[in-house]
Amino acid sequence: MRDRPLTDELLDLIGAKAMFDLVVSYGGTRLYVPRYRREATAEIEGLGTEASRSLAEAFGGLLIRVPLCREFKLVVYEGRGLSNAQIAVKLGITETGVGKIKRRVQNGTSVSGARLSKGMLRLIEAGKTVPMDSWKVASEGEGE
Amino acid sequence: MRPYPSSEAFPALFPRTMLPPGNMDFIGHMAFLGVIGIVSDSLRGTHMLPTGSMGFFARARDLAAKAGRQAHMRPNIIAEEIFELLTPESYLDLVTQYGGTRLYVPVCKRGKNAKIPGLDSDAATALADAFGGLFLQVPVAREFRAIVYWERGFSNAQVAAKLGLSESGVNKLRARIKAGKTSSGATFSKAALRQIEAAKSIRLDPEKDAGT
Repeated sequence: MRDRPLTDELLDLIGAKAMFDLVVSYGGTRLYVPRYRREATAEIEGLGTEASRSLAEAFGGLLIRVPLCREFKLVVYEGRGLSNAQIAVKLGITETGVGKIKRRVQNGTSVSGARLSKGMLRLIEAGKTVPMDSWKVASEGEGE
Repeated sequence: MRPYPSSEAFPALFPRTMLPPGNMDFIGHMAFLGVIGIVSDSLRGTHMLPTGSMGFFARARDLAAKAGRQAHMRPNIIAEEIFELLTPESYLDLVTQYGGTRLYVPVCKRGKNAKIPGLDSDAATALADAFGGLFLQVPVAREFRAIVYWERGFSNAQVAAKLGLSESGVNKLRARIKAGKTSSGATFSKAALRQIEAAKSIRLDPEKDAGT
């Protein structure tokens, strides 16, 4: 049993930007993390070498359940100036659903009504503050 | 030709008491309603028609707004109507690109083709003929899309990424489809079952396959 939510752990390991790439490419799936090799750790497709190495060090040889992090993605897309409709298509939910997540982000609560984890709150803050140009553009194709 | 709005088609807009006498045409009907409105509004506040109720024109505006909203408040029926109008391939294009959003359908003149970005002109024209000038609540159609992807041999992880769900969410979806239940636990309607059958038989352009 883990003593910390995986989101917190992943954020500490790879940082907010790589986290965005991770959840956009693999959110909701079980991802096999290759074993750590000091000389040449296999790179996870879509993540940089640094992030892949950090993940391999912590989770090498394991399957991790990558969180969907809809709240985080929503904040990043919102910062890019996307409309609710565009965000809805990217997240695979309805416009009403986007409105609901926005309200939850404002209140700092999760779907079940519990408080959002510290990791998720930090992610949301990072999504709001980091300049949008620096987020990877390759993730634009997601959700199609 | 669009049918002349009658009490049967728009009961909220044209209650029986507002129906004109005899076989009056559209302009005559409007004039008739205008006269009723002016007379009744001018009598408000007198002993004949005490205040406290909404004025005739205000009431008409209110009813029209409600009737407009009702079109959006029946997304399930609209979703079925959309599916019946389009080919399964066009329906897939629509829900992939606009699923979950409110899409404005342009008004199309007779004999002209409508344009909706990402849809072929036949599909756009069919939508415009039926819903021109309205906002459509396009369904997310997860069941339909998931079946199309499974039929193409995608793994659960790939389907999850495409639908924006978790893998366990996709497993639940699969179990629900097998049991013939919607997310609320209700049994699939006949229209939903038709959609599932259509999704299984869909044939797609291999070039398009890479993009969807």
